[in-house]
Amino acid sequence: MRLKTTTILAGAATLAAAGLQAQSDWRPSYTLYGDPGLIEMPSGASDPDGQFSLTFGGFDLQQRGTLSFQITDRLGGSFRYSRLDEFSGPESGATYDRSFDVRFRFLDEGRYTPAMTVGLRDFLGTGRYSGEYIAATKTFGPDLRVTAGLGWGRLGTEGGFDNPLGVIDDRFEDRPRQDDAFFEEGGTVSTEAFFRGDAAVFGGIEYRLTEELTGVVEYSSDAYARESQAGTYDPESPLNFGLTYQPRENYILQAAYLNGNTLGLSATFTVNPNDRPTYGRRDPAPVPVAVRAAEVRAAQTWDRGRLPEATLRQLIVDTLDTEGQSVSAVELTDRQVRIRYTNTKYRTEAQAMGRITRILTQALPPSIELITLEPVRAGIPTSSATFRRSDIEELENTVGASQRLFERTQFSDAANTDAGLVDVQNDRPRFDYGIGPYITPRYFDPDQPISASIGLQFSADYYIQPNLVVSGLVRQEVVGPEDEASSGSALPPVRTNADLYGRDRNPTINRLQVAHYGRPAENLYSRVTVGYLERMFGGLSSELLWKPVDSRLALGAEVNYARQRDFDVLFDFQDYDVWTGHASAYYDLGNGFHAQLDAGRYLAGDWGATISLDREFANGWKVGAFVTRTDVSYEDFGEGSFDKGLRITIPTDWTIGTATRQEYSSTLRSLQRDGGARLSVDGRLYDVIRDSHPSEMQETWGRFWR
Amino acid sequence: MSRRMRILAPLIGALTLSACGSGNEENLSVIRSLRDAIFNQGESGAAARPQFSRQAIEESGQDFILAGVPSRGALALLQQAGTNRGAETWVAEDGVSATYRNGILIATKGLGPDLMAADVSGTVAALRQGGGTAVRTHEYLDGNDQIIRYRYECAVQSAGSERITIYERSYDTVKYEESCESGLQRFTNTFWVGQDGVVWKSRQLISPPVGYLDSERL
Repeated sequence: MRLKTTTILAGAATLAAAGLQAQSDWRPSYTLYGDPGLIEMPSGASDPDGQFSLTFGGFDLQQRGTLSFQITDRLGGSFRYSRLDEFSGPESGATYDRSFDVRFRFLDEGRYTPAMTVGLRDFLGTGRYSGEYIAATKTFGPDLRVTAGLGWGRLGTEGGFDNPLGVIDDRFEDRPRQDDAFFEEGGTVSTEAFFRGDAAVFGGIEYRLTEELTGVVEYSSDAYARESQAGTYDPESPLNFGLTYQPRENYILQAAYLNGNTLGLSATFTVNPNDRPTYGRRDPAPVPVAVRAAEVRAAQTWDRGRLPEATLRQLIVDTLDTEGQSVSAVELTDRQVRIRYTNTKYRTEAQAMGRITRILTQALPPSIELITLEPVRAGIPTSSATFRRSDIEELENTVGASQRLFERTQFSDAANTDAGLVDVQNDRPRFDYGIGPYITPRYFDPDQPISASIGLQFSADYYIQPNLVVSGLVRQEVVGPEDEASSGSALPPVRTNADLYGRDRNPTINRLQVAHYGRPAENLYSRVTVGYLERMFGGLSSELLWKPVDSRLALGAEVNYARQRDFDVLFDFQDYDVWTGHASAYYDLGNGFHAQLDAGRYLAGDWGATISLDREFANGWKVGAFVTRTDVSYEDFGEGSFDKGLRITIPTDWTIGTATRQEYSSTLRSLQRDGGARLSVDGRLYDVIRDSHPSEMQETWGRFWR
Repeated sequence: MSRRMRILAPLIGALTLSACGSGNEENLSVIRSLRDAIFNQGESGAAARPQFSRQAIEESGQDFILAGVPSRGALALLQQAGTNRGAETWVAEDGVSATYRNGILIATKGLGPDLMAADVSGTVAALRQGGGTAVRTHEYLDGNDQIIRYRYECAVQSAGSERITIYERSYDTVKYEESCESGLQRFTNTFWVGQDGVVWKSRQLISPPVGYLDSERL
């Protein structure tokens, strides 16, 4: 349990100190490239830890959509999707380009020192915007901020001079020509070019005119050399002038006059997972703890004549049901109760446990001192947490209660502990269905940067047993992208022909499968799924996971036989089939960082590995990046060279304020090709089971007393 | 309702209607919550004090606290729901609870940015002694669900005697002001303490985002 003793509370501004805080808290604005900075030039300062920003900026010739994330306090990154019009000369067509930035703040702003950042723009990709920089930013008084920096690459084209790094090594003096031959298929890290070639100085000042308006003047070291050469852009001056308008903390608009003749505009929206919005409904208060009188607490047994076990079991089922906890089995002894249940309401298992234990203090006979809770996911018990009722009584409403209770709670595995449990009837239906609209966005299509498939879907689940479920999903597309088949690669077309599926606009069976989950032994979890597993493939998927309850490490193995489905997405198959599978290692690095390594055979029969790194906030936000390299050459892979992408999850309860387990997830792939593609199976074990393990619960334990 | 809201309303309505089935229960509740969040933001504004007589309170045979959160324009009658070693938890029908120790607020639940727990032993002692300094500790959950703890240095001072009336019954009280400070944070709690030591009326900080809680013992 980490305890923060910071002295600035989100929202403290509503108290007396509002004025003071605003002055020292002048956050950087955003460039037309969507990174923290002035107009086109980057800043030495960075965003607050964890902040996301989405910027649309540009001018008539180039538009850029950028998602930036402050990965840690010092490290920031951006993903950008740009439209570059008249790319190869006047009247020529537009090209679309993806680019990634990283930046690292290596010096904090102090009384005399500026904040300093070293950054790489477009370090991965086709290099249209490639440039490196070191920038320093210093605030003077409440309203003035000055930035100065040194740029290379694109940022070293205006007033460039011999690279000062040439003193260290002659190789720094020349930058390789960054043309299409250099980048080939794009997507690789262009280390041979970093900080090479001419360097140039850039800088600027920002002056706060009013609370909401800031004036910006910048000297840009980007001469738009490629564009001038192509005759599509004619910078007359390196000076840019801008006005930024920030009506609310989360919105920034900027208008700029660029290079003496061009109007630029940008709009930025920011959100920080650490700042929970406070509108919306709130969870109702929990039932308070009922405290046993001292004289009955020592009781060794309870009178089953007055309160039969069956009656008590039903009472437990009924009362926990009011909190969205679906009880499946109960064991009662003189001094202990053990409950298996599925939490259907709260995002965190900690909050569910907090609610359950408090309700039980109201319902249980006084002699019962130990409360063991065994959360169930996918029909299998995932862990066991044992509380002393006296601790719950003692710690309620006390300072330090979260930390103390976590230390006193015993966690263990719940495998092979069925003996003694009595199955109970609950109201959870065996059949579950839903009809509703769906929307599946698609990004970065060369012709249509954002498109979506919209339609109606019908989903149903039938629980033969709690851990054996038949589920299906049928969709009818109403509106969808009209696409020609995209260019193939040298590999079997396992993903690039996605557009050929369901083109006739008839109903499609996107999923129809039977899934079984099990606990073969202590620390082991299993899954077998058979059927039409996803839109493009059907077959059999089996998985085994080793994850001791108190371990930060988990190991998994997955073996699948997959066969390509017919383009009508009904019952038939095509000829292509493949054995695919992975050995996986998962590690909880602490501080919310999680790493995953999967090595094995991919859908197109290629062998390789995927590395993923995610930052998971205790409030349910997740953001991560993954990279896959297989034995497919860059050339055979095609555009992008190898598979990589970003993923983000936003918990619904964060947005609306009331308890729900729902979340919104999206994966942004730079380009989906055939190499490094994985079977998309529902309900992989690691994510299903880990929420109730102590390393996860420790992060969210603050919600226990909520 | 702004123009944007008028455009959104039918859209959200349509989404609510078009989803059905038990599997969509959760979707529906999410949509409803969002709708409420968008359309019912103007909660603030003073709520009317409920009208009833002292006789009605006495006939009910129960204790009540009339509690209000001025920043939200909310006012509710609380009833006692539990006692744990001197900590009394009172709940309102709308799912908000407040917990007091010797009349001093130590927790709230159901308000969003709640006071998770507080150590107020210093304040209790200072009130008993007719004033003095006290240290109080508050715990909150931050935006990332981590417990954050503040330690406030407080000064409790008498602000003179005051005769207050709560639903036809009058009390001779001493009004105390407790001024607290921690870094840039500052707040002042006010207590009206009767001769028997009962805090009949108070205004106490819940959390910076929510502001104060007004309580009257009926």
